Amino acid sequence: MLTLSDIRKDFGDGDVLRGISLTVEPGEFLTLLGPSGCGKTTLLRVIAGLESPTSGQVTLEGKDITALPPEKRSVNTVFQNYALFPHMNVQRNIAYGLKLRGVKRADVRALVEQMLRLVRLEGYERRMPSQLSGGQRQRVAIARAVVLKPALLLLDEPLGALDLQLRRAMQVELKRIQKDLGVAFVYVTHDQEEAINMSDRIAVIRAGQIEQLGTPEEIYERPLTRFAAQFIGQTNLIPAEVIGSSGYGELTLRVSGVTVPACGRANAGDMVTLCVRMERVRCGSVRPDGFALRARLTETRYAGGFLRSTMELEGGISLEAIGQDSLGARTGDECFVWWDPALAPVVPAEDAA
Amino acid sequence: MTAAHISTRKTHTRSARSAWRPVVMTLVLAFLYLPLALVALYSFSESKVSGVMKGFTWDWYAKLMHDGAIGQALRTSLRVAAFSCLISAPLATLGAIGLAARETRKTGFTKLTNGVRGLIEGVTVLPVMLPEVVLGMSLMAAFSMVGMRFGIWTLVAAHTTFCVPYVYLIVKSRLAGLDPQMVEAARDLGARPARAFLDVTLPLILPAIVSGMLLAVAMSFDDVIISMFVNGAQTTTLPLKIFSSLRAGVTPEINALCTIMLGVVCLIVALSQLLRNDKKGGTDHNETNTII
Repeated sequence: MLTLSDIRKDFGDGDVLRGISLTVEPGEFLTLLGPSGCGKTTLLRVIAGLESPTSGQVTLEGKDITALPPEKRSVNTVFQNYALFPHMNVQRNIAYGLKLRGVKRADVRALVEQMLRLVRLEGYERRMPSQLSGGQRQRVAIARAVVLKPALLLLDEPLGALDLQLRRAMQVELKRIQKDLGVAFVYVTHDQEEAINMSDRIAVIRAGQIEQLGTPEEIYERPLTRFAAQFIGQTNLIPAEVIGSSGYGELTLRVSGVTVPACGRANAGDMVTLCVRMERVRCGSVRPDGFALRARLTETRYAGGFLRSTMELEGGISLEAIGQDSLGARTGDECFVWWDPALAPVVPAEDAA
Repeated sequence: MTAAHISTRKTHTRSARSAWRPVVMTLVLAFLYLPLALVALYSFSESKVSGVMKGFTWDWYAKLMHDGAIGQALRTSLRVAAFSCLISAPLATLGAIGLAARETRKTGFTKLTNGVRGLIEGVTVLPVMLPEVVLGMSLMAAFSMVGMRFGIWTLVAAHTTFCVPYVYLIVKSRLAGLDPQMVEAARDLGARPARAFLDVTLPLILPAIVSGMLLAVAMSFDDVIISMFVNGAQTTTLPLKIFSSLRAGVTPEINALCTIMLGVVCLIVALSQLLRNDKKGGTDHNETNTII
């Protein structure tokens, strides 16, 4: 439905977007995830028409809209700070876009009412934005954008200004609204939790390029780059060398003198990074069958609902694990550490970022 | 010395200092406002000699009402203030918007560099900083060079030059506090640039424009020096009238007139401040407050 092809943007001091190509499917919830300054907001503004790309093409429903100003695109935005008009009440804020389109007054009222029901703010028509809480402003901003029935809704870190509790509640709410409306969402965030909870697909963006595009599960289970592995979930990244490859995705690695099995595509002799999710690290005092490494538990910290343990492997590698219990060992204890090699992928060692 | 000693000494000096504070405050306020209070006080004195307080009377105010020359001067002053504020407001507002504008799509205007922006702004605000004598003299020279007849229009032109900076500075600070996303949101919802300006920018900066206009009126209404250079033989503003009457000494009528002017200007400035502190349209910066 929306297709971006090779979008580049240069503000005069280097490329902010360096060739982004992307397709958004109808009704999809796509998240642009990346650290601040990676260009995700700029990309959103290019789609909205608030920024014109230096090169590349934006196509919406088969039409090239690259040169269209924002008011001529059937795309609406929920801004980071909501950008509600402070001199208009909730009713007039939501009705603004409809009025510009010349919708009849009676219809405007009905539509505004319908939108307020959708965002659960019935009876707030006369309130001024200054009389609303952050979460309520957020809902009005969403209502104002979706009342125009855009083909695509863009959201720029809409939950960034809310506290954690409200943010969690709004995640559910946003997902519900998206399902109800069946509108495609392009959602910008730097919060991996938000991305994983809500998205159908995630585009991990780094320095103006898409690092990996896939479902949350794909990115979580099979990160393609070190950056993607690091940005989503909590991961141990261990430098390693491939010493054997079965050709079917099974690898044998050498990690500072120790032999470790893993999965992924690489050739013998490659330098790689082994990704072991912290919650997948197992530990015990009895050596299990199969793969296990000797380790010593060096630290255990309570981290709210789970324990976070640091251990030192044979060969001097430090590894972190999170789990419900103390992993069956105490600080200072010798123990064995293992994980399912099929869930421990390798990514290219590449840059040392 | 023990810690207790130190702490008692500290509290001692602090309390001594805070005892001085109201005294200093009173002195400063007295220095600033006592002369004004005296003028107001004497305007009610029955004595014909200024500086002597005797009884209480409204006579001088009544006398003013019937003074034709003063009425004429008042009308001129009001007219000059009204015109110069009405001319300077759109000029200054457009200037502030133009200088605040960032590079926009396809307008053809390139982004002003900070240097150029600073220069233009400096030139705009200069009339406030320049010595009034210099400004008045040069305006007089300029008007006679182009052959303008000295009268109300030269006064209006001169007052406009020093009214523009006031409106400009106030509108600029309001614009700086305006979230650029507000206009973008309007565009996003389907408003063309002109429409977005009318629906969003203008209502939000209107209090600042009005505030600036009021300040301009106040400034124009009490200007003496510049007006002295550019007024015509037949046109006299109220402050000029007061100034010229002083040759005959300070009369109670002048005291009364000054009191009225003081009241009017205070009212206008207070109104202007009130509008500027209006919370509706984003935050305000204190930059302008220090200049005025």
